[in-house]
Amino acid sequence: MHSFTGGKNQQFDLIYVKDWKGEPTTGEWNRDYGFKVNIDFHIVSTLGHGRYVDYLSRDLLIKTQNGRKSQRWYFHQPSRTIRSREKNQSIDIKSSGKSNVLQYYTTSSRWW
Amino acid sequence: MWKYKGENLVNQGTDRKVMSVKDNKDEEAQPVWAVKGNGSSASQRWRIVYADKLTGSDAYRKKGQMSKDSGLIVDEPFYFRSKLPMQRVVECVGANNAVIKKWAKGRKAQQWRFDAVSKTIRGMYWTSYVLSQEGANLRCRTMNSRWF
Repeated sequence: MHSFTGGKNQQFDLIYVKDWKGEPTTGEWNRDYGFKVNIDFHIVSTLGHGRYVDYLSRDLLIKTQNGRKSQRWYFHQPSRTIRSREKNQSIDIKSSGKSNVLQYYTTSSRWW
Repeated sequence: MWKYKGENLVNQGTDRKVMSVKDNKDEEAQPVWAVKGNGSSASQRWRIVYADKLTGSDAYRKKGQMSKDSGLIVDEPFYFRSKLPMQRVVECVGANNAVIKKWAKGRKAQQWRFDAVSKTIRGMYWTSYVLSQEGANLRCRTMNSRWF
């Protein structure tokens, strides 16, 4: 128990068991996160050329659509992360969220 | 953790950073960062396109269709024929510079096709090779993603 701050760590939804619909499975929407579960998608920039999020080494960048698996991502329901279909690792902000650089990295239970 | 709200990918950390193209530059291999912002800039807005429902400009071109980007018909074999008097055609002679040679009936090494997925011109004989510009040279190379 801690003093009241009203932070996210102190907020809860109360859902009665009779209303609990279970977690979305493959192909179903996770409305809270705005993704379909476990279905491949591309992240497409709205800048002029509509390039796709891809990666070089581990770092994320935009590239022209090339049909490669490196441009496929999916929402992983158990970890609530966006994962690379090719690497099965999650989009992550470097330096534990202190940096601006995005990479893919082993999925962990820490979040920032 | 990221949520897709409106057109923004919003990190659920305390800073509420949004996914953004670095420096607002729409260039090949431009890094994607997480920055603090309100998400209104085009560099911070994204479309999520599910791979099982690619439509319109997102859809990969199919065989026989014209690719508007390249002006070539997808997967349709073709020759590059020189306008020089002998009208030689470009041939791939292995992992080397492409050269012009006299046309030979049925020689696959002289035939090319446009691959709409990789957006490259691929050889019909060494099917893993694509035309690749290296300095002033045009070479047959195994495909890599460096140019795009």
